[in-house]
Amino acid sequence: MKHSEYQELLKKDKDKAQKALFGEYLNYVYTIVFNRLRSCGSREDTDECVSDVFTDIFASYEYRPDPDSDLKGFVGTVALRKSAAYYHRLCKKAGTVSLDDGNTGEVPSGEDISEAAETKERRRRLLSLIDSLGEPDSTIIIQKYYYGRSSREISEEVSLSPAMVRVRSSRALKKLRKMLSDNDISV
Amino acid sequence: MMKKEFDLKLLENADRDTLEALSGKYTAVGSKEAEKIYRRIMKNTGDFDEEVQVQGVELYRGSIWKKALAAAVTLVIIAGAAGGAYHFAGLNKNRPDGISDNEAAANGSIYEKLRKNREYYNLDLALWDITKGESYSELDIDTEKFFDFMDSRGTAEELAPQDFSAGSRSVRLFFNDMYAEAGGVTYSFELFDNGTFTWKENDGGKERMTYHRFTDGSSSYEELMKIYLENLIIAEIENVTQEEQELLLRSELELLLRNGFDTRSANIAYFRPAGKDQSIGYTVSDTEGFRKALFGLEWERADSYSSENSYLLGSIGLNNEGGMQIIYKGKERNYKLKNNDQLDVFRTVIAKHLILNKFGTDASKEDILDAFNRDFGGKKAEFRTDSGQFTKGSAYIITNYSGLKNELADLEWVTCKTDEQLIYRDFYTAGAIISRNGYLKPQSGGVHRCAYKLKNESDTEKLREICDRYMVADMMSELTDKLRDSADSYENLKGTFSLSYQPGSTDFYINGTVECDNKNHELYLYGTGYELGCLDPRHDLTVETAVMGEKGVFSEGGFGFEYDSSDPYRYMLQYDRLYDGIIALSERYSREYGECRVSKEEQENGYTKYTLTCGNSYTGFTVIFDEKGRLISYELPNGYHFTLETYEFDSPYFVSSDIPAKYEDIKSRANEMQGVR
Repeated sequence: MKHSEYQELLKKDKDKAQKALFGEYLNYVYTIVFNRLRSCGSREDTDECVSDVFTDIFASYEYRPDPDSDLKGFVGTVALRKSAAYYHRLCKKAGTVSLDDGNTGEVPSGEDISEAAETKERRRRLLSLIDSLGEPDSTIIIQKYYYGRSSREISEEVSLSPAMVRVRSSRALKKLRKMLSDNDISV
Repeated sequence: MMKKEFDLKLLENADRDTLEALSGKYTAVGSKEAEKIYRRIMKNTGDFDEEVQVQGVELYRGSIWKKALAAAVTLVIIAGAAGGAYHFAGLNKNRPDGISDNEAAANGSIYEKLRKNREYYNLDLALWDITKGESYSELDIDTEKFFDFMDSRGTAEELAPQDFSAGSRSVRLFFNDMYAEAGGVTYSFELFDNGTFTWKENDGGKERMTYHRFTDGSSSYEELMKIYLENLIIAEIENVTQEEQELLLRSELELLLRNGFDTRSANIAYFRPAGKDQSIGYTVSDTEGFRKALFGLEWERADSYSSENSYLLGSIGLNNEGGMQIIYKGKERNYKLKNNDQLDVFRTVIAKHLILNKFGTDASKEDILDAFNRDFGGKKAEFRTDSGQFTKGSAYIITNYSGLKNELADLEWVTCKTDEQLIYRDFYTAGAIISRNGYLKPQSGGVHRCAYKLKNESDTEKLREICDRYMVADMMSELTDKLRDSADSYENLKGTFSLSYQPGSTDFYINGTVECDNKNHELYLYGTGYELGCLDPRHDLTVETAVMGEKGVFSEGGFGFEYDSSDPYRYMLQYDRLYDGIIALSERYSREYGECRVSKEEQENGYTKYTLTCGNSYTGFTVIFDEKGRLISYELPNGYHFTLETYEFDSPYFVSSDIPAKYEDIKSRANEMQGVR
């Protein structure tokens, strides 16, 4: 969805416009927020933060005059900033700060940049290996070992029984461990 | 958050590219959670309304795989039939690699690529069902059996994605390059129960998918099921959960019931009453429906099975107490209903699908009338002496169809088996099969489980009398058939003929020789005689005609012409080419004199004489055949009379004169003479 499309829709039906924007960017926003709060926030915290992100977007974006502005970029930035604020509030420790963390004013050192680049490459390879498991195994692995969802929750998404999800996840994990070991990637 | 032994912590606090990749492929939030968040936002913005419909919110990104599956399920729901086929056309739009199918095709067959590296792969199997998802899986199964299966199938048709139609169940096979010996490329194969299948290749995250169809439809699916499932069933797999045991049992029952019902003997059932030797026969009304109904009940394994008061259908036994036994590969497998609550349902299923073969019960007049096909025209019938493949039927005309039906229905009938031999001896096909032996077999569409026979044998004569009264042999059809066959009823002929023409004004009389070589489609007649006009003195005639296939030439005295041998008005001197002429003449006569009919007269020498009469009394023509159906003579109403005076058919010493040379000779003379006379 482009900024102009959103504006056009907003003029006709505000509720519909917001619902469309929410539908289009919820997964993106949630991914960003969850990614940031995963280590210390609860699911409720994540939901609250995501809600706040959209509340801010709905409140501010409709008044932005620039029709060519990047809607996705704007949504992503709001989500990163908001999740970083939640992170600092909830976790009460600075820890590592993402280069993309819009809430930090610190200038990263050369060492940080090098390490971050290396980590980024490891992540890329990890996702690639998970992808190579094929569906539904890659979804099962991500949902179970990244999002922490139960076999029952996953079963609804992949249309398998919970028992089948368990069976497949253990098999897929076995394969993934082997691939990680071969590629010298630790998670 | 929940901690696990294995944790993808590396992905935490990630850069934007990683976040894009994650959110682009994986669903981060379920629909219920999305609804909850949306309500919270509405509360935050002050727009909260309990009635707000958030269910319509469609998440932009979800699992690609899930979306395809969800689309497929939706289509099936719309179609209203879980067992129906649906289109997977949308699948390609969601291809994560973005490559086109043309590119995929250009990269060669996925199967061939896999086949080249077959030794590096281990194979896992899963069974998939549109309503239940994956119902069973098994690891490390025999890979070679799959390649044997594929190779035995030959070439399959490759389909465009939009032409692909998946079934409601499938066998899924996953080929894993466990030790990355084949570059980590994985393959998956999915064969649906309608014979369509897909190949998917995953090369380091780059996927391609191709769509195919086996031409033998569902039999490929069943063959593959048999290849793998019978091993699984026989293996009595251990270390599976209770739930998985149940799923395995479902797959086993599906296979065994399919196998059991997929035999001819499953159309018939026998009931064995306790303590009696005699079985009672039943007919299975709908084998597919019966199989599905049995599969729809909940079963569990049983240690034993009682065959007392049981029905036997091929390899399947069902007893009145909810027990089932299926014999597969020589081994008995016993099951019983899981809940006794289903016993009534089970008995109802049996009562619905097993029809007692009660022959000999009285049939009503309506039953007999209903046996006739409503779409039958009621004008013409065919009579056959037996149902042999090479037996020719005779055409009959039905003079009054409703009279025929009513009089037959007024007789007393009882039900009988449809395979009674006498039904198919001396029978008419006239909307129903009416046998002169006193039988009637319905032809009103659908499957008829019984025929009818006269209750009293003494009524057989009555039935024959009714048939004779309402159905008369259609001699015109018989005659034209005979004329058509006549030319092929011998290979050669040499003889003499007489030909006279006595219209009353200019008469002629000719005698000559005839020679016919049917093998080469050659005919030659030569005759001499005279012509008498009312004012002219006697005038000598020489008549000559030769026919080569479709062309004929004729000369007579100072006149000649070429003609097309199929021309119906040139038949007079062709001897055996009367068929078209007779049809043309009878059509002309019926226009001029009224409806024509043919009567048949058997002569003492075994010959048959047919006479065409039109209107009240106009005699169109007569034709005589010998006992072997060979044309001997014919006479037309204008006084034209041809007779073979002497003849020898099919002589082993037959040598034809050079008819082609004679043909050319007549032709050259005819051309010279054209228009001279």
